Amino acid sequence: MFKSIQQKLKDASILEENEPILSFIQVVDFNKQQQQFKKIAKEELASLVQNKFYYFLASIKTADNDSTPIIYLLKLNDKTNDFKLKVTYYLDDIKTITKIDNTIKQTLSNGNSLETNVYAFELLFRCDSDDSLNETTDQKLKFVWQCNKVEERNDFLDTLWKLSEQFLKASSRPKFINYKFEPKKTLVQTKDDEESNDNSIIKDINQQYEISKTDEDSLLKLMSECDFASSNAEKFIEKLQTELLQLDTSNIESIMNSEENTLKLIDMLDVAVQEIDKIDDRLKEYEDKISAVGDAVRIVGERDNVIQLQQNNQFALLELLESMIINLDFPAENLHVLKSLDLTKPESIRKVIKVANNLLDLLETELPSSLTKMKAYEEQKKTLEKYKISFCGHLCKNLRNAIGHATNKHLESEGKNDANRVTIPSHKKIHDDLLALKELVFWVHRSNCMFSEQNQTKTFYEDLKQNYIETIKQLYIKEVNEFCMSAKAGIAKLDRPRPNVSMENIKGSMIRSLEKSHIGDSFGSKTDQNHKDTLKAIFVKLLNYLTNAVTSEEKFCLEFFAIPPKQGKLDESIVSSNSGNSKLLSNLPRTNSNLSLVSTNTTSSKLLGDPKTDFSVLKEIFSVLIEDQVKQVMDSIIKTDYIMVLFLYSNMLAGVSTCHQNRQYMHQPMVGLLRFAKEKCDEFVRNFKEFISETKVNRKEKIGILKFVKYFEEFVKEAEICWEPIKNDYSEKLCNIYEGIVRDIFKAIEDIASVSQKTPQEVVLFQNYHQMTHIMRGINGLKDLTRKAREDYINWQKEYVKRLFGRPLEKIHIFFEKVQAKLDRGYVHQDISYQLELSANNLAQIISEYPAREVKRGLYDLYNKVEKHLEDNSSLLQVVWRDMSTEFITQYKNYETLIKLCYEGHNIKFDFTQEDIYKFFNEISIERSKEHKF
Amino acid sequence: MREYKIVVLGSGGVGKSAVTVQFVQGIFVEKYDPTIEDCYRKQIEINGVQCMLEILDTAGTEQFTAMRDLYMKNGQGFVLVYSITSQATFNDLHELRDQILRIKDASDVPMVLVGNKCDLEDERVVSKDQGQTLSKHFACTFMEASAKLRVNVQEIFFDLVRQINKKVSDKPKRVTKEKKPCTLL
Repeated sequence: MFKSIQQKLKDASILEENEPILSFIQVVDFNKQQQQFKKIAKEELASLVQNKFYYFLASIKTADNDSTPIIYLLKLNDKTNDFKLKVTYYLDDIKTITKIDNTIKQTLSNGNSLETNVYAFELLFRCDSDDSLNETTDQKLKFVWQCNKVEERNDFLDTLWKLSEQFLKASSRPKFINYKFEPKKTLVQTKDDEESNDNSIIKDINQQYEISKTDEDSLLKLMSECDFASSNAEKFIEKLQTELLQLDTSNIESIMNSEENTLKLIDMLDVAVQEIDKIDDRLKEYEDKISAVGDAVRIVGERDNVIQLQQNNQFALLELLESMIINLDFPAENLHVLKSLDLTKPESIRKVIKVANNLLDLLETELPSSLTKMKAYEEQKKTLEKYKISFCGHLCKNLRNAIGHATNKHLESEGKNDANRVTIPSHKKIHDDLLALKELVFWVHRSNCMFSEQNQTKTFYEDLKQNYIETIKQLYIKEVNEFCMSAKAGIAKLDRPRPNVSMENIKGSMIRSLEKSHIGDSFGSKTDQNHKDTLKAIFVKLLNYLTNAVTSEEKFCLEFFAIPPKQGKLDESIVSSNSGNSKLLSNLPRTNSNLSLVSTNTTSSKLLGDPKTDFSVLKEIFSVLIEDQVKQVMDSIIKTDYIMVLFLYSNMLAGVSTCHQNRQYMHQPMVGLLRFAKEKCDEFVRNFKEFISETKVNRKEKIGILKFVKYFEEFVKEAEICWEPIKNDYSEKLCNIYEGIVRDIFKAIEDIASVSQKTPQEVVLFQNYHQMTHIMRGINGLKDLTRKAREDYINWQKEYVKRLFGRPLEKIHIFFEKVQAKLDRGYVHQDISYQLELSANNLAQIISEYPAREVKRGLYDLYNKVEKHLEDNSSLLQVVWRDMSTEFITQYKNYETLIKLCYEGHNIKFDFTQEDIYKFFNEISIERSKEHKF
Repeated sequence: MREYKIVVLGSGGVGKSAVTVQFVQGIFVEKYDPTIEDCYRKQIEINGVQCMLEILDTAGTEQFTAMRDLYMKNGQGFVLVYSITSQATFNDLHELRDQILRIKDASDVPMVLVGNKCDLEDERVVSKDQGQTLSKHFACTFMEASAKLRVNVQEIFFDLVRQINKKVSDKPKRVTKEKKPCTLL
């Protein structure tokens, strides 16, 4: 059957000449059949069997000693019964071959079920591009073929298996699924010759090939032998048959001979396969084990990581807990230190501070919020908090005691001499004692502990502060009061010589004060000046002591209550202020002008940055104590000697400047005192001005230098002394005071002069203006007023000389006036003597009326007059006298000139010469002043 | 006669005394002499009513400044003076005003904001707008003045007196409205 087909195929030139057919199978495309089943499910299945048959043909192509197994898919043309090649597959194109044995149960439309056994196989082709097949290509490359007979199918698969085993490399072999090769033990003889080809196909093929060749040769030989007897076909056929039989026999024999080997080989192969299976199993076992080991290792690794992590976590936790414990641990010994609280020795204080700070540190440490939720934490916190509060209470009690103790100790040591206190006792011991505890105070502040008292919550710190303030305030009140009392007592001692007690109104005391120093001029200027100096010294001392006390208190408070941490700067300023205060009167830091003072102050305050130090404690301690006390002292000083207001004012100005520069608390009471002093000074000036404007004179009495001018002189004298230390900064203030007074004085002088009767108006004016010029000449700020006074003085003096001197040679004067009038009218000098009334004789007669003696006597009278007008012992007398002599000489010279011009040759002469006049004046002046001396 | 206590405040050298003296005495004080504290009295007539002004000219320089509390407490109306030639004097007023309000414990205190030295236009540093803005912030009257040229000098004090009058007449209503909480001392 194969052969006929082979022939047919060769004819159709599907197969090549030497291509054998190894297996042939009829198949149906299973997929298509299935589709058709579905399509025409209603129709009878019988009609369905009309199927196109395909045939598979396994073959092997040999070319150049290379054999390639090939599968052909053929289609049988029903009509012509010819084969047509559909597809050629190479065996190594196939990826898998699956054997399929199935029973398909089909339910037909009539209800009957039909069971059909399906014998099929599936070919899955390799994809050219990629080995890994995806679903779509898989479908395209997958073919299921169904065959009618199971044997045929198995044969075909066997063939394919053998081919693949034999000709293909292991890698390109198709994989057989659901199929196991089972060699047929049945003998070949029973089977058709070539069809029952045994396991070794190559042998088989070669044999077949050889046979066909020999066959051909023998056929040719036979043909040639029987060329002529071809007609005897039957014989030929018979011979052919016998030879064929022979051949078959030998063939079978050779086959029989090789069978044993084959079987052996097969056995060996079986053994090998078994071995391989065994090895495979073992390998699998190993693989399992290895994978198990791998898993184990991996698990171990993971576990190791976990362990590491756990360990790390544990360490971290441990660390955290340790730090937490460290942060929260408060050993019992510490507690003991706090409880015993020994503040007597420095080292134990240090220890307490350390422990107490530790406690606060513990309480203040920020722990992660997660930890703070722990109960242990909360409890510990609570405990520590309890410690803190109880310690704080305990400590504050102790600190209060310490404050009280230090104060008492101070009182004991100072108490003895408080009857007549000459200093404010230094609180250095108190401060030193308490400063040893300052860190504890800071601790109290830091702890911020509160307690309730009468429905009010207070911090211990505030309470402590309040306690200190109360205690020390009392002490200061006592000490400052005593000190100021003693100062007042000292002042009162100086106040004894009180001439007129009834004059004790303000104005009276002003007059008294000015009068005292003025009178002092003549008899005890020293005592008055001494009194003033003593008063000043008392006040300066008072202020110095107070400033020092306040400054050291300030320093202490800032340190003890740790207000702002600006101590370096503060100490410096305190040191400088201490040294500055002692030289307060004589030496003050100065700037050039008021304006620059302002600017430096503002810039310096900006540079220092912190202009507002917290003085609240000091404010509470001193409150109004210093102001009140010093004001009292000031009052008593003023009562003693009113003009001391100038000193107080100037001294407070200086004090305020210093305190301001040093940024001390003392600045505040100082400003208050300055205001007070200024007020008093203004009051004084106001009174003075009133006194000036109210001054009345008896117009029938001689008016000399007015009283207020004298007072003003005293005022200026004192003011200049007082302002000397501060003249660079505050001369303006004094000038303003002066100016107001001077203007009032000028006005008063004019007023008084205008009503004066006994004393000529000019004398009142020029004498007082002269005195004012004298007083003001050294004062820079009063230049304009001084100039005015001077001008007025000169003018009024001239006026006076002119008026009083008049014309001592009256008749001569009248005569020459007439001469002058003629001359003015245009008469020539020579013609004058020809005038009847102006004749030389007339002139000579008039001149003879004024002999030298007479003139001198006239001058003598004049001198007396002047002397009466002027103040006693006035230096102006000589000035006026000299002016008068000048005036006389001028007149005399004028007459002489006219005589020379108009009466030349008439020999007219005065009885006295110019020298005589000088002599007269000098003689009178010397004579009179001599008289005064005795 | 009603008395009005007026306090003039401001930094040093802005011309508080100059304004005050110009108002009271009609003189321009040219010399600079830092004030310690001066008190002036002047009688004026407003709307036909005689008023006695007691004007407290305060210290502007830090040196003479201490415890402003007392006169702030006593003052009824305040003149806040700055110099248009100095920004710093302008800035300083915030603090002063805060202090006044704190001590007076009230939000509306009769007040006039004065930019003095407006004759020194060449040296101007603080613009009029700035002054205006500040006065809005302070909720008070604003005027630029010149003590030298007597510009707006009288207006300052007249305005303040009117403000005080207005406040006094408003007061009865407010007392019933606002109940102040007790202060614990």
